Amino acid sequence: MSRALVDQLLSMLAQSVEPPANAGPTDGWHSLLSNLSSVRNEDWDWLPPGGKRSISHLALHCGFAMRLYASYGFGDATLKRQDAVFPATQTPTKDNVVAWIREGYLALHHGLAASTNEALDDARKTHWGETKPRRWFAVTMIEHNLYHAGEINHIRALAQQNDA
Amino acid sequence: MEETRYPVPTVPRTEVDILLDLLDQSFQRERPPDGSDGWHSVLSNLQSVRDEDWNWVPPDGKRPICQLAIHIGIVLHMYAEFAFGSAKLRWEDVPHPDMLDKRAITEWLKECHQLMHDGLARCTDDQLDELCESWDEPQRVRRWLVHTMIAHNHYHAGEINHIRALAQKDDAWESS
Repeated sequence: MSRALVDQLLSMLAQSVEPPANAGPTDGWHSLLSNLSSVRNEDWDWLPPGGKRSISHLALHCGFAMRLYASYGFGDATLKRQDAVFPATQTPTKDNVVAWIREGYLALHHGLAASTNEALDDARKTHWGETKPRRWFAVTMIEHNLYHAGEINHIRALAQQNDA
Repeated sequence: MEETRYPVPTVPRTEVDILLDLLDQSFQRERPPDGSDGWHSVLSNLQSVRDEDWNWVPPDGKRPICQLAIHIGIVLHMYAEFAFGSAKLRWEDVPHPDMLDKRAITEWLKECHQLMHDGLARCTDDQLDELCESWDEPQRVRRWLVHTMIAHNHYHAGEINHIRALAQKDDAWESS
């Protein structure tokens, strides 16, 4: 069975989370973790005037979503929302959340890596009950990581007064 | 496959197909009435921008939504030129409408996206790994130029959403 489509999605998913190991200076601008890397501790829970979602909220949301989508797109589709959140036994510091995001990403990566091109068209239930092809779960998480990386960058830029 | 409430894109069979799907989704994927999809595209995020939000900046902000929209279009145009065109255009020569004209900018963005889409649609999977001229480095793999545009669209769609949310005082999560 061909894996070219799966490999392409794996590559794009990886790059939505962090730049590749051999990244050049112009690679990885848009990834989730590269945008978190310039976030200072004092920016982590900061809110701009009128804002409701902090960088920590967005980072936790990304880790949560990757776990849910891994379960429903590629796993046994039994993970409950309350079991996909950051563990209450840990403090949600930036370092802890980054490590937790990497774990969520790996769950998704392993599920997608075990797929085939043909299996990407399998119908799967979302966690709210709608049916989507399996590849939708991977594609949506690629988009989701990049989209929230942009939001994180904007909050960070306002917090650090260097929007440019 | 069970019938879905909203049609899913044509099933991709080649690497170019899946990149076309991702590129189109990053630019123009629509949000269905129940809000269950289409959260992350450029056009779906521009749709809820009011005229008064277009050139607004939050405290300490420097980039209004209109500036991000111009940036998205210029970069799409340049990447299309270097991935699929003659690779001669310079950044400062990319033509664009007046930044304050929201309607004209939105239409122009669709043209910029179409340049990228059409170039990619003419490609074969093998050509994705060919080297292309670049404006600042010796060469780039064509696939990299496409991947970067997909990421770029989503990233700035997120920034646009955050500025819009602050302008409209309704910063909140998407629905799912």
